[in-house]
Amino acid sequence: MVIIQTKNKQRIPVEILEISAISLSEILEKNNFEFDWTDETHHNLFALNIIENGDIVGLMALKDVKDELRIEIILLESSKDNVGPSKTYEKIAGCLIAWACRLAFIKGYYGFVSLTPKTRLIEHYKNAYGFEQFGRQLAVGTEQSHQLIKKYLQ
Amino acid sequence: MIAIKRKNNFTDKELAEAHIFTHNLTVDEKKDADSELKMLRLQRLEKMSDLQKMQSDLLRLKFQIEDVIQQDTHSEKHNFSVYLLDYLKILDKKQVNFASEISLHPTKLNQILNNKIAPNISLMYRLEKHSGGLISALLWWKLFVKKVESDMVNDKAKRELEAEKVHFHLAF
Repeated sequence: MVIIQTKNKQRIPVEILEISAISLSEILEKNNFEFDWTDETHHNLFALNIIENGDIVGLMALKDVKDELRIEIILLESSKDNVGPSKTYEKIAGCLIAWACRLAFIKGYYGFVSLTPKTRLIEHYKNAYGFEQFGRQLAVGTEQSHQLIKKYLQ
Repeated sequence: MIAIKRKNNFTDKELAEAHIFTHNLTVDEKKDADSELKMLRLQRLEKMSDLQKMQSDLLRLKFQIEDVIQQDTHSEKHNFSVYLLDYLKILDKKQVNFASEISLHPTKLNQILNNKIAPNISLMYRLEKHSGGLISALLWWKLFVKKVESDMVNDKAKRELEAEKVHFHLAF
């Protein structure tokens, strides 16, 4: 799995690690993230790690909704330097979303991943990642989930 | 939300490309949204064909094998044969039929599935072809080699037995 360095399009190898609340505290001490992640420690937390230097450039909180065979993305954040046109790396959020999709296959949920979007961002999630509207929420099913895995993880 | 206010200098597109924010629904609104999603989700599940479920289960198997390969240690529950049996189960294939489809003698397949004999590289290529390329020969091979590596590290008796057959060795 790789992210792309914006300035020279170099492919940077990364890995996604499941992290504990303790690891989260250490990550947040570096002050690279702005969301209040301490509210999410009861969820499954994942960090996108640059293998070469150990920098954490993305965080994600997931909820396992077993009785509906789906994974819900509760919160996802790219680090401060990785938002907007001057971002250092591309594909951080895509890799994390695709990882949630992969997990949804492994758990036998047929790749189904949902999120509850802010209304004004709905169209952007549809365009960027192929999410479909399921009432007030957005989700990807088997086919799109597989496409995201192929695009971001392979 | 404080975080999104801090990020006001970005466009919505840029924010959506980098983040998924926590929702700002009330408890009741979220409950309604979840009920609606549940209903639509269950409808989607009912509409899934057997073929779609099979393809999805094969992807599940592929990702599980990838994870096993990444692990530092090996256990018997992650043997090649365990995952090959799962493959047959997903496809709802009897051993004799599957053996025929990949031109393998049924007895040989049974021996592989019961860890009596080791699979060879030819089998890996046939498995790749049989899965329509979904699970590569290399992935199957790496899964098998995990056990070989574990055996080489742990089988002291075999190491000593083979050492007895060496009549000259370099001494450093």
